Amino acid sequence: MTISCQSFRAEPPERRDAARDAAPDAAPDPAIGPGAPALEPTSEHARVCDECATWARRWKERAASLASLQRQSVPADLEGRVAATLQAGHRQARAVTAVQGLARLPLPLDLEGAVRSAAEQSVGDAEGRLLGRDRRAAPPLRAPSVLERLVREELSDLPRARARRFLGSLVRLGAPSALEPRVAHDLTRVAPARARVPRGLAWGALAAGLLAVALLPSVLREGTGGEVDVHFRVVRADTLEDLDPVSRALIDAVSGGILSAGNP
Amino acid sequence: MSSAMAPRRTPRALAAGLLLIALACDRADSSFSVSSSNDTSERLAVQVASPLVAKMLSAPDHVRFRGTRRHEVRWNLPFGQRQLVYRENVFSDGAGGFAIDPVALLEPTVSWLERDVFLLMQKAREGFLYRYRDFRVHDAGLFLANYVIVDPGTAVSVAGRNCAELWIERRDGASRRFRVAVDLETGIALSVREESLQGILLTSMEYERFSLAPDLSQVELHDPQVQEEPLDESASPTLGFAPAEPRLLPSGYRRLEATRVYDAEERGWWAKYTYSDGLELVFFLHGGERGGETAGVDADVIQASSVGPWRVLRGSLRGQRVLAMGKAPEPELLRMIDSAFFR
Repeated sequence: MTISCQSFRAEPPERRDAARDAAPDAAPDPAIGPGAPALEPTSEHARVCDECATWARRWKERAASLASLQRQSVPADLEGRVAATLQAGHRQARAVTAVQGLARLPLPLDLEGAVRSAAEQSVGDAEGRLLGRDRRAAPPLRAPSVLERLVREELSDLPRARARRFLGSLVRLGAPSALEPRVAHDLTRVAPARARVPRGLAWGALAAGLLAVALLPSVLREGTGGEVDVHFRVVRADTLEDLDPVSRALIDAVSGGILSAGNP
Repeated sequence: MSSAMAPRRTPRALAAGLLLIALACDRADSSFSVSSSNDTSERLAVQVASPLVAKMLSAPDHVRFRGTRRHEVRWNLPFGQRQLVYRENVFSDGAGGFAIDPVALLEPTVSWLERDVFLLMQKAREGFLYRYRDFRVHDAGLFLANYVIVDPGTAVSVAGRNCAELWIERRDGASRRFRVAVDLETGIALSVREESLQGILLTSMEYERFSLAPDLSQVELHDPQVQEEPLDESASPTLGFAPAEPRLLPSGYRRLEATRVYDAEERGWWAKYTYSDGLELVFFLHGGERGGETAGVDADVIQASSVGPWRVLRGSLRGQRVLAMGKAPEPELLRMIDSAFFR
C-alpha cells in the first residue's frame, strides 16, 4: 500500500466525492497535513489501483447496507435518565410525580374474605380467653340490648345528655353547721308553751310506758320468730354499713335492686 | 352474685303440670272448697278454680307473649324507708326462652349515671328476676297444700285482658298476702299486689301492655352465663367436698332441685339446693372449704340480714362456706343451716 493508497483510504469514498463536488478548488485537507497530496477523485486513484478500487467498492456496499437498516427508537427512560443526571436536585419531585401517576391495582377477589376470616378468628380467640371457654361452644359476645338503647338515647339528644351528666355530678351541699343548734333552740323555746298534762294522766302514761318496756322483749321475739338454739353465733346486720359486700349484693339482687337504685 | 342464681332452662314445669292434672282428677269437679280457720278466709266465699292454677303453673314457660309492666317496691326497713318504681319489658318465646329489658327507673330520682347502672344491673339479673322473683307457682301440690286460694268471683281487666282476681295467703304463719289478677286465657299473672296483713303495700306489679304470639325475632333472649348442672350421684364427687344438705326445712317447704353451680371467680363448685312451699323459694348453698373462711365473716358465725321479706344468712361453719336466702322466717332458716352441719 502506497502513500496514495493511505491517503485515499483516509476518507470515506462518498465523503471525498461530496467534498470534491462541493469545492473543486478547495485547499488540501488539513487533517492530512501539510505536504499531503491534494484529494484526488475516488475514481482517479481507484482507476489505477485495483486494491483501492476494491476497498472503495466494498466500503460503498457496507455503507449502503448500513443505510438500509431500520432506525431504532430511543429508550423511553433515556430522556429522564439524562435529565436526572443533569438535574439531581429535582429527583424527589419527579419521584412524587411518578408515584402519583401510578394506576390503582385491583384487589384480589379472595382478599376481603381472607381478612375477615382472620379477624373473626382473632376476636374469637380473645373471647375464649376472656370467658375461659371454647368459642365454638358459645355464641359471640353481644352488648346487652339495654346498653344499646341507652347509648342510642344519649346519642339522639347529646345536649340533654351532656346537661344531665354535669348536673348529676354536682356535689350535694350539706346544711350549715349553725342550722342544727338554731333549730334545737327554736324547739326548746316552743316547749314551755305546751299545755301542762294533768298529774294523773302523767302517772298513767308512765305506767303504760313501763308496761310496754317490760313486754318489749317478748314482742320482739314474736316478731323475729324467737331465739333459736343453734350451734353457731348469729350476727345481725341492722344497717347497710354492717353488711359485707357480698350480702349487700345478694339482698340487692333478691329485692330487685332496691338498695342500688340511688339509695345510700 | 345475682348471676350465681341464674337458672338453667329445665322443663320442670311440664312434670309439675302432670302432677297438677293428677291432683285435679282426684276431685269431683273442677273446683273445690278450702276450709280454714283463718278469719279472712272464713269471711270469703272460698272457691278455687283449679284449672286456672294449672295454667298458672306452666304459663311463664309455655306461653309466647310480650308485655310492659310496672314494678313498685315500698319497704320500711330497719335502716330507713326504701321505695323503688320502675318499668320493664318482658318477653317469653313459649319454649323456655325469656328476656327482661328494663325500660325506665321512675323512683327514686337519681342521676343519669345511677339510672343507667341500675338498668344495666337489672338486665344482668333477668335470669333471677324471671325465674325466682316473679310471682309464679313452682309446685302445684305444695301451693295448694300451703296456701289458701280464694276466688271472690271478681272479674277485672288488666292491660285489656279479662282476668280472675285471686286472694292468696299462707295457711299457717302468714305475714303477707297476695292479690293476683290472672289472665283467664293463659294463666299469666298480670297484676300482683303483695301486702302485709294490715294492708300495707310491700310490692306490686302490673302489666300496662300485653300481647300474645309476638314477633320476637329482634329480641335477645336470656343466655345464662353461669354453669349450673344437676347435682346427682355422678356429679357429687367432682365437687371437691361432700355436700351438706339440711335435714330440717322451713315449714311447708320441699326440695325442688339440687344442682351444682360453678363459681368462676374462685374456680370451684357450690352445691345448691332449692326449696319451695309452692310459691316462695328458699336457697341453700354449700361451698365447701375452698378459700378458707368466708370473706368478712369469722368462723362459726352466720351474718343475718334482711330487706323486706327477704332474708340472707351467710357465713362459715366448721370451715365450710354456707349461704341461705329466702322469705321464710329467720329462725326456720337458722335451724335449716344448723341441721346441715350439726347433728
